[in-house]
Amino acid sequence: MNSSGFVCFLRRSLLQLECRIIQATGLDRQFAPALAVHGPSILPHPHDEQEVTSEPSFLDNVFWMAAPKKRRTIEINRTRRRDPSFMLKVKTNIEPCVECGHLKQKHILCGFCYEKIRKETALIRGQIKAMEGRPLNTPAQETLVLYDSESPWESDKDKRIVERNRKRPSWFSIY
Amino acid sequence: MRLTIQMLISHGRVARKMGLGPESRINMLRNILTGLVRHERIETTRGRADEVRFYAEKLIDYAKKGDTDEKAMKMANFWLTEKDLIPKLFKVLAPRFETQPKAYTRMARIPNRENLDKAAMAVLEYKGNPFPPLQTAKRDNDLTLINQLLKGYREQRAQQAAAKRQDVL
Repeated sequence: MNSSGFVCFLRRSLLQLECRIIQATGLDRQFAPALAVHGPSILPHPHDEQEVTSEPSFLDNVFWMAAPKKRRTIEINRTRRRDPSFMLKVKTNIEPCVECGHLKQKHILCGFCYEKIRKETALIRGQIKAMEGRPLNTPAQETLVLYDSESPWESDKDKRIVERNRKRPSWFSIY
Repeated sequence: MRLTIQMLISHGRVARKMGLGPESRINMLRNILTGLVRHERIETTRGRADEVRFYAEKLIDYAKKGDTDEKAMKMANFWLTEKDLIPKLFKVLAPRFETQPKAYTRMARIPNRENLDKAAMAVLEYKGNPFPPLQTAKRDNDLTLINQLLKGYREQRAQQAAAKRQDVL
């Protein structure tokens, strides 16, 4: 018969339970002057390990970025750099002007010849401005430009005459 | 408006955008057209010259209707900001183009502007203006080989004809 063993076991378990309760409630701890040690804590703090102090930096994920595997050889470099799409295009539409000999593009007026015409036009406009006097004074009349020692025809009598003090240039024919 | 992909793609859209918007475009074209009617020959960028051409020719078509036409006068009043040009339009430009049905303007391309932008320029003029012509008629160069040979042949024939007349006499 184990009745005495059973009673011992009960007593021991009751004592253990009492110890655990006192530990849980914290009544076993007695606050008294104790020794405080200044320095790095030897025991690791469990709560600090779970915290992340800094954000995941960019360089942590560098493993996903593209990078060249091999050096590009000079042959490959040359073929890329000398590709026709990057080279300057050769223009085949340049020709000399028939009148003056300066170069011009086929579909564009000659720069030299146009400059001559533009200057003469500007001088004619200066004369017109002097004739009109004030701005916004355009007459309702056709205009005719006459050079030195030129006189208007019969059909030109309704037009206002603009005089230019020079010989008529060869490229400005009357007709 | 709905921000669709169609707004970013402009395939086949021929209408030009100029200035700050459609109203700004019309104002800009109005100024250029006024300058053209005043000076009868102007230099602008290629796009603007091309746009103004249509309006310049339409304005002449309206002016041909005559001074007394209500619509024509309204159009001229709108498009010409300087009002001293309205008599010029009706009394000078419209009679000038009476016999022509369509092409009243001429546009020619010019070398790019000298500024930093190197803009593509064009000169736009009304035909029949008093200024020097932009393009003289192409004359064949007398100094080319073929022309010299032809000239010599012509002279030879003239000499032979003169010699034959002498013989007959």
